[in-house]
Amino acid sequence: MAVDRDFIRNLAEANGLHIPEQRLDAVLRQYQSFLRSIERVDTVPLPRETEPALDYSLESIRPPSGNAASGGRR
Amino acid sequence: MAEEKRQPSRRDFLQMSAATLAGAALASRSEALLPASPQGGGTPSASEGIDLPNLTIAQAAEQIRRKRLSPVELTQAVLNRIDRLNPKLGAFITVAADQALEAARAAEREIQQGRYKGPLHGIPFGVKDTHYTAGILTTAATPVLRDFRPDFDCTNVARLKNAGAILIGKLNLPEFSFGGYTPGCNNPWDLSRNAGGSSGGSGCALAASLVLGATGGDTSGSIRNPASTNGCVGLKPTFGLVSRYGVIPISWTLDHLGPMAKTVQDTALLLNALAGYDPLDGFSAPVSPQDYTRQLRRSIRGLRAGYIAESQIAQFHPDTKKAFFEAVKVLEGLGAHLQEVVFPERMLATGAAHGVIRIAEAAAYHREFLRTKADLYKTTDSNVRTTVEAGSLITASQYLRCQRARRLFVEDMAKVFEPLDVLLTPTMPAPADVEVEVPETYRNWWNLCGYPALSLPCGFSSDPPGLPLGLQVNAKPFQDATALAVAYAYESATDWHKRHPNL
Repeated sequence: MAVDRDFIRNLAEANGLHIPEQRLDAVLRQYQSFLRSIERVDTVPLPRETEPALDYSLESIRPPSGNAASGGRR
Repeated sequence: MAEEKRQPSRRDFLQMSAATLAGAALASRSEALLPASPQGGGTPSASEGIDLPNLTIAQAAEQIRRKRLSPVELTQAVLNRIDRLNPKLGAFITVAADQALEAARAAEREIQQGRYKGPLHGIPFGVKDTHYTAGILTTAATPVLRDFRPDFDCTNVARLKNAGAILIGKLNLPEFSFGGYTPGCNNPWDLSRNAGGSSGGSGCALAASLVLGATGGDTSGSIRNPASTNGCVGLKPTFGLVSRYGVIPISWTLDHLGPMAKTVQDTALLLNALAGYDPLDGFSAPVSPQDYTRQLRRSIRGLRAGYIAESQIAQFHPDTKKAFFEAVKVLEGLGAHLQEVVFPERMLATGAAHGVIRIAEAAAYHREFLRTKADLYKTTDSNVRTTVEAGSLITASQYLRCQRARRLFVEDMAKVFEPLDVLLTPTMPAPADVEVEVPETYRNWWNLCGYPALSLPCGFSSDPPGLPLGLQVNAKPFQDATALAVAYAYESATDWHKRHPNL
């Protein structure tokens, strides 16, 4: 599917957003820049067991004893 | 800073009634200096002849603790300076003069009654205008929030107030903190240039001595950029160390808040008040309070300091690289063991996840504004509306792929850091408003992995002349004290922080 003005309009509508016609080109350019970032990320093979960092844990990098931190982050 | 008038002031405010002091200070409309000759027989001041707003927090605190300087007088001197300079600097969006003077009078009374709270008591500070402040406009520099007056203080403002500090006002930023350029906020070192961003007002106000301390927010480098650009110190603490509760966000998993100040010691003093667990912030870390100033003077001899290889910053501005490698040599001279660092190629790809995560989370926050107030977003000097509209189209699958890649990024950073105590890079690729094309700035990486990152002055450019340059000191998670100690050692061996813009 081509990523063009219609694509942006339809995807936005599906997400409950109305993007005025005069704004579609600007939003399209910005969206394409995000796609380039995602393509770059996708060049890295993700091991199947890699979980998203939503919890964003620093648990595995606990501060050494004596530091003020009493534990890692959730 | 030669143009400020000498203003007779009180030597020992305990010898006068608070009411008299307050009245005298209110009557004063100049930027007060500590007097050269004592009134009322007080002990000669250690800071004689120093203009009050130019004091560091540590210097002012010492005068206040010894009851040689009134918080009211200091606050009034700062307000006078804001009156004079803010029109050409644009550092403040809102100045809360009445509330500040009221708080200063209360601080004065408390100290008079022997209830001194510590080194922030009576110290004027400003916060980025994303921080909720009870009863004071909180606009995030956007018409979308032009009438927003929160009914409570964010955790950071509450903590600074509890420490006795005096809120002076709300500092400038780009709309909703988006970007490294703060429209209308000029660089005190060259008024034709910008103060950077997004905490541009904070950096500008510190460099121009319109505040003694400040806070900033940092999602992609927004504390460190203006710290470097304006020649002050800024710390993005470890993720979770400083609460984000009550602050208008960009991205929940990338946002950090932290202190900005004129010196490393002042930064540590502010962090003492700001750091600590906050149950109201879902990402807050269960850390115990500690005194970050106690570890400042520890030796850095034998400390393992990585520094980024020249090949990885080849396209940075020549003055930036020169100042950076000279700073590295200074630290070597102080006994640090240097190791050159080349980041794994994979990090350049996984690091790209930052921009996607940032905007996908921002779009979720902005959804309601886009549906109800879209036409209120700025149409000039901002692309926030366009960016969050486009961000709204990122799918959950794309977002989660980036969060999975982030996990790999964090693992790689841990491996890079395994043999190191700190890792050094330039803070910015170039001086203020100088464009260079670089594949990576190495600033938002520290948001992606959550490690502490501090910027402090490390020189001035020669072409263009006289613009501040910054050294970025990064440390392991919850080793913020290590970053501060290295920064303090460097600062103590140099004098960049003692220079002031000619305003």
